[in-house]
Amino acid sequence: MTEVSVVVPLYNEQDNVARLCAATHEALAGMRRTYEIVLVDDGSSDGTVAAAGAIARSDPRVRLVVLARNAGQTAAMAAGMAHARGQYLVTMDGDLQNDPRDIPMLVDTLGDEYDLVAGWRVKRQDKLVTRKIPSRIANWLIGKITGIPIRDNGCSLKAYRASVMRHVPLYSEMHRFIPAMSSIAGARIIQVPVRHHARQFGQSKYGLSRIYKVLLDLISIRLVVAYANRPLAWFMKMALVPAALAAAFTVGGIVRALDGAYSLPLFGSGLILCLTAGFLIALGSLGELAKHFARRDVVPLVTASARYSKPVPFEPDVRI
Amino acid sequence: MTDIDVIVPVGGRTDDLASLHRRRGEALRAAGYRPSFVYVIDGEIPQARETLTALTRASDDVRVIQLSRRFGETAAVLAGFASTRTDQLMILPAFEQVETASLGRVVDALADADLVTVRRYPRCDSALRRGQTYLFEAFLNGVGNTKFRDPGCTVHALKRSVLEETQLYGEQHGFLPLLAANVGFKVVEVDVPQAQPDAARRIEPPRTYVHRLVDVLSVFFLTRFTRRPLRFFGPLGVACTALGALSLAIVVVQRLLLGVPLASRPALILSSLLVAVGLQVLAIGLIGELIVFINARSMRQYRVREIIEAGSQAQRQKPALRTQAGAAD
Repeated sequence: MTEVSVVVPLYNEQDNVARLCAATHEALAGMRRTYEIVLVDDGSSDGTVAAAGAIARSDPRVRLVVLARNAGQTAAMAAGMAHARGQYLVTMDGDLQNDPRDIPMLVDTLGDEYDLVAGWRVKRQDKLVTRKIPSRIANWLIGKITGIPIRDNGCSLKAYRASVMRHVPLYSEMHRFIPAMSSIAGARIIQVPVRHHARQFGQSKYGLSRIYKVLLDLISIRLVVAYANRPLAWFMKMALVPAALAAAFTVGGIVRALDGAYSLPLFGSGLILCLTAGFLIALGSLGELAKHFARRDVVPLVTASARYSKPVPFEPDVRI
Repeated sequence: MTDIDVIVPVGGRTDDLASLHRRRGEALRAAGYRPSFVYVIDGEIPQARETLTALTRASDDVRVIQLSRRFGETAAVLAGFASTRTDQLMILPAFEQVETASLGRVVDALADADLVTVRRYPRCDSALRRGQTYLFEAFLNGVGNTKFRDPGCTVHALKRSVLEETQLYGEQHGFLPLLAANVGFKVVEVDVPQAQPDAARRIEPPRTYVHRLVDVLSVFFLTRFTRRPLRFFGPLGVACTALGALSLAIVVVQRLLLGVPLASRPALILSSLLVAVGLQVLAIGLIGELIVFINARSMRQYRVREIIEAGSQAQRQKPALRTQAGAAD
């Protein structure tokens, strides 16, 4: 029985993969837990598959999952987690910026107390303007909006209890929001400082342009989390705004009409807003319908709703 | 000799099927394949049915499936697919679109691909038709992120798993290469000379073009935004709402501070309309997000080509589609 699965998505990391495996083995040798390394090739165009495949064939502790095409980091992580056998999952970047020596500490922290341990790159070795500042803004936003004040959502080095991760939907570019998403599933979360190294080989693949996408994703997650369980009620609340405006316009129009000045714009706007309110309620019913026909067993929402109302245990303080 | 099942949807344009069948069979046998044809008659086409019934009596490599009414080309292909057994398949139109003698070459290309699509080249039809294809291609490349140069050509050779794992929509059998590539299959394009009869085809009715346009747009949406509907609807709705709110503010300021009368102009109605439409577009995006969120665990996000571990040979294992639902087992 494997205890720890280290999941590493790789995208064009042919120079790093051998060093990565060696460093991981070295770091985990003294851990006294059985472990495996699950490498996921995310449609690399260089020699990553050859390099990683050679390692996987000769080393029984390493497995390589080759994706048919580039599916993105989230999907690659999901693929690795789906093929991992351990009870604890550790995710890590393939570019050696995370230090595998932190893994035993992360797993120990997980213990029985926590379901998710998030790494926090305290001394981050990246460029200030293009990487650190956008990331700080993004983390602040994510913390504010989701209510989970993780300071370094972009850090891939995280440890999870496998049984909890099964309830966390992972899609699109959700890997940044795994703490927020898993808090819906009732996960107990903590963050710990981890080491961070500057990139040695290869190109960095992330940049400033992602902020916009992160923002849209963030809004949709926040809203989906808010209304996923009761879409009709949420949309009805939203419909109150146009409905109230419509009522105000109509009343205004009637008052004007009593004065003898019939106002087409007022009545017209009132009608439009009234229709909008109706439309929103109709959409809410549609959402209710979609929820109703979802397969219950694959949707974590039933347990999630029960757990979400409870406060999520979370320690914002740093623990070493 | 490798067995290969050939699916021929018979619905739209149909040439002399008896001679076409004979020549196609010969071409494939000459290339070292043992073809077996499945003709799917889409709707009531008495003439085609007669010819094909005669064919089934004459040879033993023909099966005919008659659909109860007209369902469209994709449904016909899938109905034919259900009765095939071979690992390699071919889909051919019911008329000679490309040079029949080269069909073997198309199937040969499957050796290192999952799907082979054909580009009619060199072309022998009129400049007008070529221009049409060019426009269609340019449009599709613009919206669909494709690199396939002849989306109008419906000659395909493919492996079974492609049809099993690729979701086909509506009439989009012609977009199979694009959809398959999107799932993660390896798609290659081969050049085959266009057949003379294909060049002589008639100009299609406007309806066809409308259908094609709708298909292109739905493929565009399905391949790009199904995972994040809000990325599509969000900016649209926000822009609309913002525009409406801005013009609403201007109207209100003008009315209250400058005393410009409202009643004589439609600005108020127009701005409320913009706000209302913007909110509705946003709300639709949110419902889309909800549906994605609820079904995220059964969505196809990635396709595993192979798993390499100690003891595994450098061979291709049977491609299995993994979804997140698989993780829970």
